[in-house]
Amino acid sequence: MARISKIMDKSPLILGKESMISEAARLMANKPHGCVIITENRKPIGIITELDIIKAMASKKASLRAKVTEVMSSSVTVVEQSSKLEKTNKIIDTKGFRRYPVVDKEGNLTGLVTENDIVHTINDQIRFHRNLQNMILIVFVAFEFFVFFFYRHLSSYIKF
Amino acid sequence: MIRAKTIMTENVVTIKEAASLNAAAQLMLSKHVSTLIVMRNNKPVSILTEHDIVRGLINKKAGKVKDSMSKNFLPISPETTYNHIIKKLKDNKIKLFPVIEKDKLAGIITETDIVDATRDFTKFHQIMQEAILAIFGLVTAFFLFFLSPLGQSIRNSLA
Repeated sequence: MARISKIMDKSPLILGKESMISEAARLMANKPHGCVIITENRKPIGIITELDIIKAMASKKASLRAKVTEVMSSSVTVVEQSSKLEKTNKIIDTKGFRRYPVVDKEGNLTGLVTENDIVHTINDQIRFHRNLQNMILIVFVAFEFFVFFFYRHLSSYIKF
Repeated sequence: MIRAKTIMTENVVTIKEAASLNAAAQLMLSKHVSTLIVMRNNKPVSILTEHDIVRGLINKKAGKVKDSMSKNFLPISPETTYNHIIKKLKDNKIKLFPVIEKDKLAGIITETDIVDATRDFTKFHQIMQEAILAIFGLVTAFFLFFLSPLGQSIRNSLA
């Protein structure tokens, strides 16, 4: 059974809470992650996405010099790195976010996982499972046909 | 077979090439979308994502949409299959597919659309699989009973 630690991105973008919005924007501009996790003592306290920066830019309330804590989403839903994919998928279904910081048992940040990664990994697993199921089905059906056609002869060897 | 036209978003927000990035940001926020299609002479030429806007924001020179719009623009036809899209997504790391039919914009397929389609697809297949399994099981059980010596003896006693 696959765990989150296998599919997570192990090098997310991280900034301290004293950083400026422009630093976050610069980090995001050069990397495809689309979000920066704000940490305090290695624990995730917030997340800032490209949309947050665009909102700040369009509303002109917060300048690029402002602190990231002003625009970040501060109630972060984290997932533990040892949790199973199916369990995480259920959390995603109820929460509806796209990106989740991954933490270890002590709550320290270890990675980032997106809804995309999880859904696609589950889909691949189910495909594999389905192929296996079909193989087993075919073997069973073949065996059943064998029994149907030869049960008369079988009955001389096995007493029903 | 799932095709591009069934999973695409048809209401696409477009913006002119000469518009400012700020206008693009405002448009994105007011329409609640993460991607805009950039138009030149009423023809789609590129896409503008949140990422491109943030990039343009850092690069002070680029104040216009055309300076910071994405360079890779890979349109697909409405008849493209789901498997083909997934393959492109994994191989080329492209996450956005403008759907274009005869030079006209028909829709757009974003990451969200693909994820939703994958979820539905997976669920649908699971249900199909269970249904086939159930039918097989019933038919098998019936035949096993009908042809077995036990069934034979019941049929004999009824006759």
